[in-house]
Amino acid sequence: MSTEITTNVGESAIANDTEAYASSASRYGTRGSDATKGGTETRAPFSPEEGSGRAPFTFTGSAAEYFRIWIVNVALSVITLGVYSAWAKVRTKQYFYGHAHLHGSSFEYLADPVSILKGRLVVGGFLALVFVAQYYSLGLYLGLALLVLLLTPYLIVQGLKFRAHNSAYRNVRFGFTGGAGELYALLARMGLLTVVTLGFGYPYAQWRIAQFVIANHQYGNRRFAWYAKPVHYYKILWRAVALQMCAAFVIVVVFIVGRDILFESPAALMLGGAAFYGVSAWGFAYTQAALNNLMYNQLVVGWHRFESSLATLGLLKLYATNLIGIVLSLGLLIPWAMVRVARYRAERLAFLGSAEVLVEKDPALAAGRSVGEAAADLGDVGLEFGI
Amino acid sequence: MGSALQEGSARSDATQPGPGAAAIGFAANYYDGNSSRVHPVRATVVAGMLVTQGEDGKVMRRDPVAALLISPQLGLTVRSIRLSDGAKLETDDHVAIDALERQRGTGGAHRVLHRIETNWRVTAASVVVMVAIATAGFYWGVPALARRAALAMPDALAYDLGRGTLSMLDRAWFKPTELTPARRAELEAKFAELAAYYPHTPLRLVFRRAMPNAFALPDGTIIVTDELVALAEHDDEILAVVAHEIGHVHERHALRMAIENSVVALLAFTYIGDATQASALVASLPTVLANGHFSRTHELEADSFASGLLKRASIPLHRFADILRRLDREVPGASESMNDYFSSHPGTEERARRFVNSASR
Repeated sequence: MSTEITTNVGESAIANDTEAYASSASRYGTRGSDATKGGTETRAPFSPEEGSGRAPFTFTGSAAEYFRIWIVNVALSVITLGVYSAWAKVRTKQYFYGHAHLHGSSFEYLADPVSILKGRLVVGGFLALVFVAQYYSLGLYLGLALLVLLLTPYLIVQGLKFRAHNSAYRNVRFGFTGGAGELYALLARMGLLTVVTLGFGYPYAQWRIAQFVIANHQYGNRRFAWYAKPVHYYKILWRAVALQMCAAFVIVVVFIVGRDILFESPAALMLGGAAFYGVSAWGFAYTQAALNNLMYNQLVVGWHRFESSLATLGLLKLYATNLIGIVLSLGLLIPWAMVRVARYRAERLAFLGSAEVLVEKDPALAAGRSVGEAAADLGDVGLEFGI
Repeated sequence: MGSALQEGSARSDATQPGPGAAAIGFAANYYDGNSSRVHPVRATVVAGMLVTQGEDGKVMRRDPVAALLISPQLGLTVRSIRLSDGAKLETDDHVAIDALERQRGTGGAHRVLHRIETNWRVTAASVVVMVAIATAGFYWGVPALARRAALAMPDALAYDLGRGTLSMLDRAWFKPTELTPARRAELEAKFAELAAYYPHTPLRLVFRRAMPNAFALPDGTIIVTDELVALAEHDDEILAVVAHEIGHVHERHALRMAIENSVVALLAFTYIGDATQASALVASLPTVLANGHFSRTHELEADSFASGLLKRASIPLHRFADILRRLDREVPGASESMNDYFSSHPGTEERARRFVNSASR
């Protein structure tokens, strides 16, 4: 899962139509044990005032259309030695946001390519400095590396602010109000906790960081509320670790049982490797699906909620076919893969609540231009960290 | 998509004759920017003003056409028109918006971009050009760039790169040599003779125990294993391998490899990373494949350097071919350096033949 809440909301399509919410709710009630539902067992509080509407997100982009935009983006980026890449990024985002619809309105990406270019130049230049420094002096290199480490939480918060501020739906922007200082303190505490508990505090730490990222978002004047509990994270991450250990177990067994055959026949070696990667990928897809579902299913914006039902197997098939397509086409099917992911995510995401999403512009966000504008100075350098 | 927008494209009347000039009108959703309320409206251009009317036909506002901010066309995504006070119109009536932009003479650059993006011929040409650039960049661009960067680096700095590598290798791979001091002194003396023909970098010969092989560190340290010494049937064969390793030092292959791999990894992550969640796995693939290609090039470069150095030192070139073939026979795979088992090296026989043939040149 990425911290790109607004993008995830935005990158969305063509849903399995008009299933009444009431029936789906009862369906989930009986399927509470399905792991990938990621905490649908204990859903976020439901208000009677919210109404009973259920609207699918739809994604109307097509691989053929996006392919042409993508190849032109790549070509112009190469010809301009990377300068156009900032415009390419904005066009890509605008394409995926613009094709994501909810209740007849599409999402909108508003970033200025120039601020993205500036941010990339500053950060790219600095990283080049660090790279060169390692050949000059170890002290200088370590000093700069430490500086990068210290700056990272700040850049993450700036990126979140920038992304949220430049995402809009129905002409009302999203916002992110978390502070860099808060994230510093949080990361320090959570790092310490993870070390002191020998890793057992890790799911709690992940939950706490996700809480910081998600609950500090807002749409207009409506703050995001997130009702996920640490226990959800413990369940999901425990299953992920168990799957990963299964993968390790498979590889050990394969090597012990077949060590004589393995090194004779490359086919057997590849088969063992494939088994390992298969189980690993399963664990990866499971974690992605479960955390993504948890994020949306426990999210409340105003009186509105979401319903995400990514399936481990569906995601696994999607990633596997994308991977094969990209490798066999030497990268030319990348746009096809991106559109498929966006379409699948949208198909599996629904909005619960009345059709009229009534939200006011946040006067604090509107008046305090500094929030978005300051972030815009540095732009979005693309720093993300997984939740 | 809302019904207002779909109807909009159906009854687009951009081409219908109106009073005076061709009237431009389209259905749209209006958002005032203060709330998320949707107002289905109809917008019409009248005498240089965009008139927005509600469903009841009441005029909601008039904006000068010249002051409108119209979003560029991007595939079939919805077009938005920003009004002066932060309000916005959203429509998918691309025909009407196009006519509006033409009428006021704006959006030309973006129209060109959109035309490029929707033209299959340009797309096909882009694919061909990109594949050509990627191939050329991979075979010539990146190696040439890395070579220039590596050779431009001051000597002291380049040698610094290998500082600490030997002690690390000692801990991880090597055992102390078991050659007698006399044997070592003998080989060192011959090495000094050879090294005299290469005055650019101070060279140093050390002995270790591992598999039959030789290694070069960027600081000019050449490591020869006891096993290689045992395998050699003539001391000149050892010197021939050492000459090859000096080639690696001379061409700064360690540094070039680092630069080449970083550049490929950076590009792979930039272009592939966005596409798939499993980015690390996919993006590392080109890096692994490229690594094999680069190291193959480096081996051949070191070979050609060695043949030059051996000629100057009057050591017969077949010595290198001899030990290369023997290495390949006795320890398959050992003639390749340790870190690129997965790479496709030039075949040993091909290298040996190429080496001996260079004598005639």
